[in-house]
Formats: sequence, structure tokens, C-alpha cells
Amino acid sequence: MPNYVLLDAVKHQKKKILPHTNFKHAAQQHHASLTINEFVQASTSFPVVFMKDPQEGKLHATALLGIIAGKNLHFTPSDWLGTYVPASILRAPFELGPDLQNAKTLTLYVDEDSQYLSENTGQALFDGENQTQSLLQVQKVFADYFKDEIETQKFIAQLLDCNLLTEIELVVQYENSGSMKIKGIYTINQSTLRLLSDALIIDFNKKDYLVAIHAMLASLGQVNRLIKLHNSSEEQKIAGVQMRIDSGEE
Amino acid sequence: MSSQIKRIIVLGGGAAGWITAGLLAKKHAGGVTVSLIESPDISTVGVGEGTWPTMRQTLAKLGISETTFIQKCSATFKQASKFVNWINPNNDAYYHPFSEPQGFNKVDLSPYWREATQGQGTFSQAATFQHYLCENGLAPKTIANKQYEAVANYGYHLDAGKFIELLREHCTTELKVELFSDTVEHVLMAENGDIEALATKNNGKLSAQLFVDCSGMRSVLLGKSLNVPFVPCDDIFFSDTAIATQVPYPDSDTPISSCTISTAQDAGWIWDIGLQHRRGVGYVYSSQFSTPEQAYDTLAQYLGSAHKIDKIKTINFTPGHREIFWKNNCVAVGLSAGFLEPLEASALMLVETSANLIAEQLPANTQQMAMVAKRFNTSMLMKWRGVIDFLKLHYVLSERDTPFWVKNREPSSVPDTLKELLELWRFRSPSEYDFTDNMEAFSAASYQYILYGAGFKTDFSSKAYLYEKSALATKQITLNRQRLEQLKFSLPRHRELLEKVNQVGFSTI
Repeated sequence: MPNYVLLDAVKHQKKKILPHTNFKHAAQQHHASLTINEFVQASTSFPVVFMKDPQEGKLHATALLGIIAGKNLHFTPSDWLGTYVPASILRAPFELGPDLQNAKTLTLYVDEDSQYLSENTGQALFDGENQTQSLLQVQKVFADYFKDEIETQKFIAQLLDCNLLTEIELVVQYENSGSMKIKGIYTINQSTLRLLSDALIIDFNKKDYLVAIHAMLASLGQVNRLIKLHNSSEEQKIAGVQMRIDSGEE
Repeated sequence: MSSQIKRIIVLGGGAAGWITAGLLAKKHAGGVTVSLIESPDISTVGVGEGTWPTMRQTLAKLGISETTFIQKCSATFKQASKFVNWINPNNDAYYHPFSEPQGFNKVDLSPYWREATQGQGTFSQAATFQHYLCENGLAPKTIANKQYEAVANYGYHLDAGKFIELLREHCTTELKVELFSDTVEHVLMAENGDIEALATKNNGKLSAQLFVDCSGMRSVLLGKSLNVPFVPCDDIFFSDTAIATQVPYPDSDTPISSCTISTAQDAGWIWDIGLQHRRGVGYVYSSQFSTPEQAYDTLAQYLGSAHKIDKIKTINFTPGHREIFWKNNCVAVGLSAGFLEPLEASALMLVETSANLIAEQLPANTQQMAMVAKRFNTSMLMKWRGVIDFLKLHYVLSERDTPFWVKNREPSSVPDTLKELLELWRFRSPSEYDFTDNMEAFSAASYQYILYGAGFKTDFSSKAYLYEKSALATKQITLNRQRLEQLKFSLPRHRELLEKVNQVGFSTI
């Protein structure tokens, strides 16, 4: 379990950052957050979908990394089995959290138990009272990521507004005849997309929404890749996955 | 001479009137004008704060968002009715949950549950996780579920006054129901016995091809103008008075019950309904067996010394219904059609059913009217008969010994249809084949919850060869337990979900 604490010049004076190796911290993550400008690259490796968070029921852009909860099929001790690593996974050992001095402001936290934190080797975070170039770089990455997240939320709001989302249900058929339903995954509704007005198509294209939409649709095929990865693990073998599109209310 | 149905007038602006007007306007927006006359002088009864799960479909059909409904009507989620002290006054309780028993379409649990659970727990506990959800104040869904989607089946508790306001607003602005705030002075009849028009105080004569009587217990059109007799059921049900009051919560974080709590008393029973901002509590009793003072004391005792009753509303009624519900060009919906008693919240359900049936089967022209009316009457009489049997069942199973309860068990007060079913159920459980009419009000599942919740013993031994599905039944009971273990952690507390609905709302997908 990560142990995030507020990043502090005194407390973390001697801490150094190690480069990412095998992403072991994400081994139990079967999905990861994405931002809209990652969709195209992420779609080359994972299904890119929307999922709701259980606390607020809000939709978030997500890459599916595995089929069963708690298992990231892309993690192996020696290699990451994808051509892309989501930026949210690259954030380790840092995370954004509330700034206790300024309400409504976010600030950097660090996972003190992280494998990427050392006191011997790596890039220092502080040089006396000053932040090092490496830490400034981290801060810039986080600031950009935060902006991208806001852009992603705007994108989702527009999709909802235009009735362009639909729920899909995955029915996983195991070889031993058992089956499992996975609900709570949302994607683009192709039939309403086809009816989108010309003006909105142009608007979407200019905002790079169209490319994101098409990346999402194409990425659904990556479910087959997840099954392949799953079947090469020790888990119960999957015979196939059926995708059911929600037909909507009434 | 036959003419097309161009205009429908609904008389009465209570929940029945607005639900009917809304469903008619929604379905027939293309060709029919729906008008509603609401009297500024007549107040609505404003009781009937419990609904069935059917209300979810009704609201969705009307195009009202679940978030708006919950926010505006102070509504909460109702998952069951809980019957306290109905069997004997010593703190017994059983549930009638809205979710069907686990695997209801695969296997009937009633012959197996006692053995499979080794006498641990009740029928509803073995059959559905919803029993636990109610006992522990958990919600039937999460904020991540879309609107009207359920994890555990649910209806609502609502503030009737606010509900009427929401319906009025929605029906007039979104569904183009034409509203007349006016008083009907007299009813003009045609020679063939149809209603020709309503003469109003400010808008003159208002005519239509079909009139829907939602005027409440006065039954102004069907009862008074068309002289359809009232069939009293006071030989079956003995309650005739209700006193109702409102009770604030002691704290803003007091848990809100997710079921209607119905507690038996010497001369009737007390309902207890949790809304977001207050409870609605009332005592429905028989004036033959209790004076108003005794009734007041019973209610005060139930509420405890901490609560001072400041306002109390008294409603007098005769249980019963009209002999038919649709005559000539007039159909009654709501209290104008009848009322039995508040048990199991059947009043709004009957409104929804009637309104849907009228909207779906609206005659194409006046010539078709008589045939549609005949079919409607057959269906609705069946529905009322089902409700009567089911409500009476609750009383018949009681072992309480005050005169009110003894009288309720007198064979002369039990309808023959129910007597017959009870006799059959001595040797087999309630089955879907007992209720083959699709207009039947309550399903076999509901009958099972009441029957076995109340401790009824069916002797399955004489037909033991029929009951060899014990492995399948045990599997369902285990599945139910597993499902409960997951839900215990994923479902929020009832109040917590309501707070989130007020903050962020449900999504439509």
C-alpha cells in the first residue's frame, strides 16, 4: 500500500528519485486513468473506455489493463507487455493532494514506501532549500497533467450533452462453462455519432475530439488482446468475450 | 354517430389527476388535447406517501429525471414493507421485500428454505439480501448506477404535496397539459347518458369526448353524475379512520429507514415512513374498536414522550370501490374509483395501472368506447379483487386477540377467493399459476413473503416426490448469501446516497 505524505524540503532533503523499471506498483491495477491526448497512443495497447468512480458516479477516461479485478495483465517482473504506459502510471512515486495551507489548491505528495525513492542513488529532489531541476520537471508534468484532466472532463461533458455515450456489458465465457458479466464500462454510441450535425462534426474535429472518438471505437478490439494475455496467465482460461451494447431506457 | 377522441378532460389536480393527465398527454401528444381542471378551493388528501417499484417506470415514461424527482419531492428509496407485531404483540417482525426470492424463476424456495438454513433466520432472509439491506439502513443502489436502475428492487417514499407540484409543473410545461384552475358548478349530461360538458365558474362549458374522474372520494362524475354505486368492503376491512402527523428527525444524520414500517396496534396499525426531511407517521384504525382519544394515545405512545404531536390530520373513509370504473364516456382513477386502506401502498399503484391502461387502450372513437370500457372494468375488478385478497391475508394470519383482530379473522369477513387459496396453500406453496391473470396485483412472490414471513406452515410431505430440487434451492440460498457479502461493502447507507443524489445526481447512462 502506498504511503503518501506531503512533499517537504526538510523531511525529504536526502531523498532521490530512481528511474521506473518494471512498474511493479501497478501490478494489481486492472485499469488506469487516461487523459484525452493519450487516447490514440493508448488505443494501440488497451481498450480505452469510460468508467464511473463509485464515490461520485462521475465518468473518467480509463485504459483497461486486465479483465479480473486486481490483476494487471501488462505487468511482468521483466517486461511491460504494451507499447504504451499511461501517464498516470508514470506519476509514481508522486501524486497530487490537497494543499493544507491553501484551500482548493493541489500540491505534490510523495509515496514514502515507493521502490522509486532512495537515499543513495538517483536524482536529488532538493538542494538545500531549493528545488532541483528534476523536481521542477516533475511539477511541470503534474501541472500539464492537471490541465489535460480538465480537458478530458470537458470532452466527457460534451459527449454526455450530445447523447454520444452508451454502456457496454462484457460477458466473459470461461472454458469450463462458467461465465462472468462485467458492467459499468461506457463507450461511444455509434448510432448517435452517425446522426451528429455537420456543425458539431467540424467543431469536434477542431477540438481533436473526433480522433479521440475513433481511437476509442477502434480500441475495443484490444479486448481480444486482453483475453490472449489472460489465457497465457495461470488464471482460468477464457473461451470468449461477448460485448453487449446497452439498448437504453424503455 | 361516432366521433374521434380529440379532447380528454381530467377532473381533479391530485396525484391521480396529474399522473393520468401526464401519461395520456405523453402517449397521445399527436392527436389529443388533455385538459385538467383543478379546483382552487379543494385541498388534496395528501396521504399515500409510499409507492411501488412501478413508479420508476411511470416517472421514466413521463420523462421526469430521477434526480429531479428525488430532489423536489424529498423522496427516499423504499425497498420493502416491514410488519411489526402483526402476528402477536411480542415484538415479532417480518418483511415483504420488493426483490423476488433468489432464482425465483428456477426454483421455488418455500419447500426447502427451513431445512437449507437449518432453522436459522426467516424466509425473507434466506430468499433475498434485501432483508439485510433494510435492517441495516443500506441503499438499494449506488450513485454510479444510472437513473431508475436498481441493484435491489425499489419504489419510493415521497412528500405527496411536493409530488403534486412537480407533476403539475412537468405536465403543464413539458407535456402541454392544459390547466384550468376553476370550479365545476354542474355537469351537463347528454341524452345517451354521456357527459356532454362541465359547466365551470370562469371558463364556461368545457366539453370533451372522454372525462376522467380524479375528484377524490367525492367521485363527482362517476359516482354522482353517472350514479355508479359504491360497493363497500367494510365487511372485510374494519379500519375507517386515519390520523396522520409529521415527525422531524432528531439530527441531520439520523438514519433514514428504507422500508415502510407498519406496526400493529389494538385496533389497527401505525405506518411510519421516512422522507428526507421528516417522517410521516399515522394510525389507521377502526372506530368500532377505538375512540378518537384512544387512537391519539396509541399514536402518542408509539412516538414516545420525546415527541410532542403538534398537528394532526384526520381522514375518514369507507373501504370499498365503485361497482364499475368506466361508464359511458367517464372513467374514474384514484380515490374516486375506491380506496381500501393504506396497507401495502396500493393506492398509487392502482392509479398508475388505471392510467397506463387508459393511455394504452384509448378508444379510437366514441363508438369503440363501450368495448374498451367493458374490458377496462373486467381488468380493474380483477385487480381490486387481488388487492382485497392480498391485504386481507395480512390480517387473517395474525394471532392477536383484541376484538379488532378477532373480528378480522371471522370466516364471514374473509372473501371466498382467499379462503380457497389458503386451503390450497396448506399443502403447497403459492405458485405463479395461482395468479395467471396478468392484471393480478400481487405476484406469488409477494404472497410467499407474507405467508411464510407470518409463520404459515405448508405441509409439503404429502407430495414429497415433487420436492427433489433441494440442491438447486440450497444453491440459490448460498448465491444470495454471497451476493449479500459483496453488497454489504459496495452499497452506501441510505441517507448517504440521498445526500449524493442532492449534490451530484444520477447520470442518464
